[in-house]
Amino acid sequence: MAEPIVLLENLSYQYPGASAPALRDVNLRVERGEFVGIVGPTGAGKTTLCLALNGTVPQFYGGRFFGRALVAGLDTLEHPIHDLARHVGMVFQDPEAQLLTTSVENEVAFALENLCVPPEAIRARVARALAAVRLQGLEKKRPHELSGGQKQRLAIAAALALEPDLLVLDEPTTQLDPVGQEEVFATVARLNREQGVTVVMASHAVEYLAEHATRLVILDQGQVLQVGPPRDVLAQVEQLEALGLRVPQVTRFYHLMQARGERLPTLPVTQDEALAQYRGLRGRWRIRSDGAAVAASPPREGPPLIEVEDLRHVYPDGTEALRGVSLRVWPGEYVVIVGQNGAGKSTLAKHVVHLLEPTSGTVRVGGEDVRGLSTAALAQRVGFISQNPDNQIFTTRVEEEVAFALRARRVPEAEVQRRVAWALEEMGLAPYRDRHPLSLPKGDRARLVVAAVLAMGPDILIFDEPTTGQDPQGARRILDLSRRLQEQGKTVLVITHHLYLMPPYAERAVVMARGAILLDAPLRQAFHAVDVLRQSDLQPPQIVLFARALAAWEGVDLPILTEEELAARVEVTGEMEHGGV
Amino acid sequence: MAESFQPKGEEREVRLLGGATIDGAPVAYVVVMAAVVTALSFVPFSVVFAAGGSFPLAQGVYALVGILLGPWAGALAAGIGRLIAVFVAPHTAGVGLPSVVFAVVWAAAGGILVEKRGWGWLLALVVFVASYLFYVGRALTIDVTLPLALQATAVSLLGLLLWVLPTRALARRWIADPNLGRVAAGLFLGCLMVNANALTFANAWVYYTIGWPAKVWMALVPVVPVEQFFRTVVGTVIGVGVIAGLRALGLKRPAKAGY
Repeated sequence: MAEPIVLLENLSYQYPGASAPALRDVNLRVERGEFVGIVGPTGAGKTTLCLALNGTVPQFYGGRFFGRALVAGLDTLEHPIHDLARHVGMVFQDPEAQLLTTSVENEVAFALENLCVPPEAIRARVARALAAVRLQGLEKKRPHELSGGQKQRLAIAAALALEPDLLVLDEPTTQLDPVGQEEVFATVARLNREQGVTVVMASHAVEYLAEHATRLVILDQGQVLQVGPPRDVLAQVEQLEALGLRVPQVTRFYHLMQARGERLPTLPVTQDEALAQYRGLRGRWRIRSDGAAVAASPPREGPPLIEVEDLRHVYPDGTEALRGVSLRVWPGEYVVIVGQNGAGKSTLAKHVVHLLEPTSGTVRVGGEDVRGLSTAALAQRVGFISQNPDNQIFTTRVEEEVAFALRARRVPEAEVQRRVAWALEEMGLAPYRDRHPLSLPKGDRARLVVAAVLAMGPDILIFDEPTTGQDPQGARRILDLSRRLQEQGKTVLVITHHLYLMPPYAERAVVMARGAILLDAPLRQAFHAVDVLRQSDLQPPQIVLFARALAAWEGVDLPILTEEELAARVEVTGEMEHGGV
Repeated sequence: MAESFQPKGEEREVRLLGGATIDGAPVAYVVVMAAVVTALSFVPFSVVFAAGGSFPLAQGVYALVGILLGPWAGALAAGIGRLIAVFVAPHTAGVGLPSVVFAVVWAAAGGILVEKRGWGWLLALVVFVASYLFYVGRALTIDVTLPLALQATAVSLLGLLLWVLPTRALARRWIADPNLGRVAAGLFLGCLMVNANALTFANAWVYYTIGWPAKVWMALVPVVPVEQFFRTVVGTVIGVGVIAGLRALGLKRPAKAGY
């Protein structure tokens, strides 16, 4: 048998100062040419496992290490990271954090120069790597001028230029819009398929992993629970959902049908498989066209709570981020703002809290121009949870972080304690109240920021990409809370790329692209406006696309948003046309 | 390892091969701290200084850089950061390139402060005492009276006293304490003595090259304690936050770090 590219034998690891191991008796063998996806909830050990593959764990962090990790035949404890780097290319979650030079070609050449590769060879490898990720022609461009997907592809090119045996990617698409995500997965899958690069990728994007990975590894609390082909692993819907993980929406739809007593030979894990399986079931399954219809916008009464009029914003470098945006939000609404990276969503939100000054136009909150309101007065009305939680964390204890603004507002101490306890409990952070915020995983840090804002009790809550970096359970926890707050009368604005999460929560969607609003409509209508979404580099959730394909076949109207809605429209009528798949 | 979990694999010796280090501090840390020093050099901290110009906020963290990285790596980080700042932040460059030497000595003293053993502290003491004698001795030969010289250098004398007394070891112990309150106390005490002594070294040099009349010595009497207090507060406030964060993150600790 050929030597595997990765061989982990009883690998256990504990970070210095940690009370529990991050990895527990991990055994894994990855053959050359494989595409292995790693899936697991926050804190499962996915990042630690990735870092163990290039020796950063334990060589940089220290700690206690048990067992053996061989990568390209090299023991990761006996070979320094710079030796292992010749075999393992790493790509991390945040593309901004790994780009450090002033041009695309310099970025790709950087590691090679550090390894003293001859200049002619560097030039050749840079050209090859950029071609592999389809960034040719952008050699002289500054990395920060690239889109999110391009930046991540550049990071992949920089890793590829080392001509690694193994490419390790740690949640490389969580900060990207759906098109950027698609670009990265397509690039990695092509490198794997055409150039034989072995890929290990940690990701929550199960739809894509189901499409491209040859095997999936399910990690939980540092342990490998399952390893196998996506079809086998993702078919364990209940087990995965119990871990707080998602399965592809089409898989879940068929699982719901199975739960209704339908005998299905397999659960499909990709859209193509799902359509093929449906073809086999035509005649037995009939889609009803009644049910959820596209509703018109509900009539709004009274004055709007947030009123944006003809807002323009030009950044100092000349970028026109908002081009005459007008938007009204009424008290108690739940609005989701979606759009590509750079669409102007965050810029718009920052104007509502007056973190940015309009170039022209006005923003009013509660009828008052935000320019006339003090930061403190505005902070009491509008809670803003920014995209990067670390930008809002500055104390040394979780509890202090939540209490900080309350004490600054001289809220009585008993009330501070009550609100802190409530906010921490709501966010599932009560057990960590004495911890340093930076000792928490990123998902928990994001929830800590939400807790700190919640404790202030503002009328308007703006969540800027609250689900980025969260596992599905963490994302649901934040969104469930946002819904409860809306039910209590708060007005909620959520900015997100994760369209599939929003149907149970938002009523209205605002689609933005290139600084303008393309569509402002009820969620159901917006999610089925596929062409409009594509103009903003978005695509509807998988189940919407699947339903639209079924609707086209059956000639029915099928404006569903969730797997449950689709399952409710299916009537089991008779025998299968072709005997199943 | 958690009590309930018994790993099947054999425990291996972990060697920190993860990249180049300088005196036990990863190069990446040295680079980051140098960048911090450069960035803080942009902020003029005071317009009152004997040499006539403002001095940078970075002076508040030189001692801290040594405490975080150890004497050699700390000296290198502070020196590189200051050298870059001389060119990119000339408004706080003061005496120019000699300030790079001051930064190096300052941070090295911070590193020596937290060394558990060795004779570095004694070497530093010799340098500080010599600097003090040179500084005050030269002043006395020009036009400064002894009482005025003693008053204007009271903080320097306090720094020397704290350096030779067990207070140096006390500061070191407190900085390494898990309790952040003690860390703050240790940083305040440690930064105070390091700042006082390092500034004596810098003053001796500047006084030799520029000199200033007795009237300025009179002005120094109230100014120096205030400036040193704020330098020390800057190092303490930033230091507590940084040390708490570094401990929480669980990043590799430089071999000679004081925390």
